[in-house]
Amino acid sequence: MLARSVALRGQADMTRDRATARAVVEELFRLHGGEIYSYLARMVRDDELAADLAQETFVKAYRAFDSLEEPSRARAWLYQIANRTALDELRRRKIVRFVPWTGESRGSARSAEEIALHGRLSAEMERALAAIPERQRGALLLAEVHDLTGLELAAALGVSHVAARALLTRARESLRQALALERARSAERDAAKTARPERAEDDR
Amino acid sequence: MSADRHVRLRELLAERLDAPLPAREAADLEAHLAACPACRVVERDYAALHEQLRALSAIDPPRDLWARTRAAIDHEVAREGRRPFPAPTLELDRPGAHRQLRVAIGSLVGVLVVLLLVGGPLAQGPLPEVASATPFAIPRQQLAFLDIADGQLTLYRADVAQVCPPPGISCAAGPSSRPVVRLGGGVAARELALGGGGHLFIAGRDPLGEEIFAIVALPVAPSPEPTSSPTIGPDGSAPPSTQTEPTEPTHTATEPLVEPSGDPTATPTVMPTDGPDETPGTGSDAPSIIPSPTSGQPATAEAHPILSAMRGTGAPAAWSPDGTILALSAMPADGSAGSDVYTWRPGDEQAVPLTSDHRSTFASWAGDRIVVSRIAAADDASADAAALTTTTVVIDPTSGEERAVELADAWLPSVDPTRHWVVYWQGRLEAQEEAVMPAGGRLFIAGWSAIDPWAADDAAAAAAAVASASPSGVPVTSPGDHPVASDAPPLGPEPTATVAPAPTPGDAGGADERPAPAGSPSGSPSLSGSPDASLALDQPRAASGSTSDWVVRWSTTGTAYGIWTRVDREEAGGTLIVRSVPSATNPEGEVLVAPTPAQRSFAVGADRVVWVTPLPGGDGELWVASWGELGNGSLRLRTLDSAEALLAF
Repeated sequence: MLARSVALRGQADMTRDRATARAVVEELFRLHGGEIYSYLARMVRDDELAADLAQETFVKAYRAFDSLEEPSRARAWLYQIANRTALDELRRRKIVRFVPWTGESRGSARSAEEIALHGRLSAEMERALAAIPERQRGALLLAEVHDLTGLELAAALGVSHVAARALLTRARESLRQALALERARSAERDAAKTARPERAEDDR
Repeated sequence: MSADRHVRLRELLAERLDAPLPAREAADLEAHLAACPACRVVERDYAALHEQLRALSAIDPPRDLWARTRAAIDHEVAREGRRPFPAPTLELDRPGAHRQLRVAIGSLVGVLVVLLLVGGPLAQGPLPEVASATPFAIPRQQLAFLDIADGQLTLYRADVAQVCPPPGISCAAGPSSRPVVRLGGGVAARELALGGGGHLFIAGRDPLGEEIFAIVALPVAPSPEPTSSPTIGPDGSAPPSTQTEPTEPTHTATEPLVEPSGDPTATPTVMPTDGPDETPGTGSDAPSIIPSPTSGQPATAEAHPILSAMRGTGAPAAWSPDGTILALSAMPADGSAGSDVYTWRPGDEQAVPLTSDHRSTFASWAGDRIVVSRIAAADDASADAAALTTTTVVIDPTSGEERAVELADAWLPSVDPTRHWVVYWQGRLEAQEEAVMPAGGRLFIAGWSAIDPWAADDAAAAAAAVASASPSGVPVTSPGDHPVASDAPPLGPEPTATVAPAPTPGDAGGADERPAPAGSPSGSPSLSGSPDASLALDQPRAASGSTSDWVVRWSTTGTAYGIWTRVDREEAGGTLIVRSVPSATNPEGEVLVAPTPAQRSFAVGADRVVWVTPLPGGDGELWVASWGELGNGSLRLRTLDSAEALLAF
């Protein structure tokens, strides 16, 4: 009888723990679901896939809830899961294609020139981001777009603080070069567009 | 200076963006920048990158992300051998079993949330839009749903008066839902239609597995509690006053709410409620055909068959807009004959056949008339014996007069409440004995006004009514106008006369489309219309992908429609989408609720839709989404004991 009641109590504790995990993960989704999705969407450049990975991230968070020791680190912990999930998926799928970007044009109304300029900057930036190594992309997004710094960034990347800084430094240089390349390509395309009508005029 | 030195200093430039450099390195870097123009270019590049990256905005998650995620977590919970747990912030209907646990979870979550928000530098950073789940009010509307409770089919009532901004997860205070009537007889329902002056129609199976079509006389009880929240009735506007009259404002809690009537033909008794709703903010000042909850056990009621030895066909049964006539279609269960349309009025013992050709199927109501799809007679059939051709007629249920609609090869046209629009299925129909089965096709939306065969009569009647009311006797509506055209949405360009759906090559289901009939090159219905024919739509537009099983429901305002589809009948669930009707600026219609997994039963109100998301293990989750002037929002109302729950506003 004693053994049975101990077992039942153990099960009750376990049930309560899992219920807690379930509730906390829901709360974490409410707080961070949007930014986790946003991060994954930029990492994998595929909205549907990002949604799948976001779902997977939170399921993993539920499974691994016991590994969350400090509630104050929950955000970095979620990003760590999301980052690993994204890198695993990218490795598996070898996604390198560029997906036209959507969802960038929220906020206050802007002039047509601003929209065009912003669109172009965004497109070049998105292509450049897509061109750099995935781990570097993750580091840049986490640091610049999602405001992770210091130990939080290191935790999310799953590396030491020193390694995280080094990765971020390399990422900035990679992005700088990739963006320069993108701009050169854009300039070439613009030049080709300009030249085409002139040539047609000459032919006439 | 060596190349290595340049590289190191550029690293410092990058590092400086993330954290201040030690004084010595900072001084070295400044000195180097002063003497190195190329390095200053790099510095500017890094700064620009920094600004551009930080300017990237968040990307909104899909609306159903939490629903999917929650379902996946629940699946994980089930995999662990346990039942899903209720969300901590949701007020559920079975508090006894979970209240203490909920409080405990809530406390733990509360502590964690506080730590997450104020727990130190690691928790800092801008919260995304998703963090805001503060509910906002929407016009109150009562929802009825049938679910299984303690093994019995039970009618619940919930007052929906708030939602959360997308992606809503759980508002701070979800509405409660209460069991109000238990249905005896062990009926397993698959179809629900609420209306008819307090009569509930259900179709399903009895304990012996036989199909039944039954009426349940509901007690009608307005809630006397006044509320400041705007309330809309079942029709999406002012609540009907013909069905109930306000009764005494308060009553004792022990006073029986329901006096079950054994006679479905009797006019339901208006019963007073037992006082204010227990849940703050959920009271309603609107009389409703949905009974109010009692503090005790829900009342019981019996289902009374109105058809026997039959099985259902066609679109779901529906009440006329004024709630006085129920229309449905059915065929003999033994397959000895084809489908006919039936009507039932309060006072009838049995449903009465409206057609007797055994080829007619109920499609929808068009005002106070019934739209019927009819299979062509055998000698009219095309050379393709396996396929069937159809016609559409509109029948006046009072006189029995019917008129043909110029909408060839459309199946189960669903006309909106304002009679501007029609959504119909077009594809390949196959005969299985006497039953008709869609085998592959798509839904289209088109203008109805111009092809409504009763439009001229109605316009003339309206003109006569206006003329008789006008002192000058001058009609203000020309005979050619449709009476509903005056409140039509802004029109687009003048539509062309005859138009056709033009499924694009590669469209799913294209191979299943019927061959083009003679005289219609594309196999489309001919919408030879008057200028007001199709409003902003100059041709029918595809409203779905390939499907052989679907349900169309219109908003009570006729401005939005929900379509539930599944590709084939073997699938477990389907997909629900809600769109606005086409407009001049958006001929496709705006997507109001993105495609979401849903069970077949759903209901559309004036500005909201409610549906059931299936969960692993056979449970369901009741959701509502709204798209009113206050913005889009959604709310998970509660978990259900059955994913087969039936819903109605």
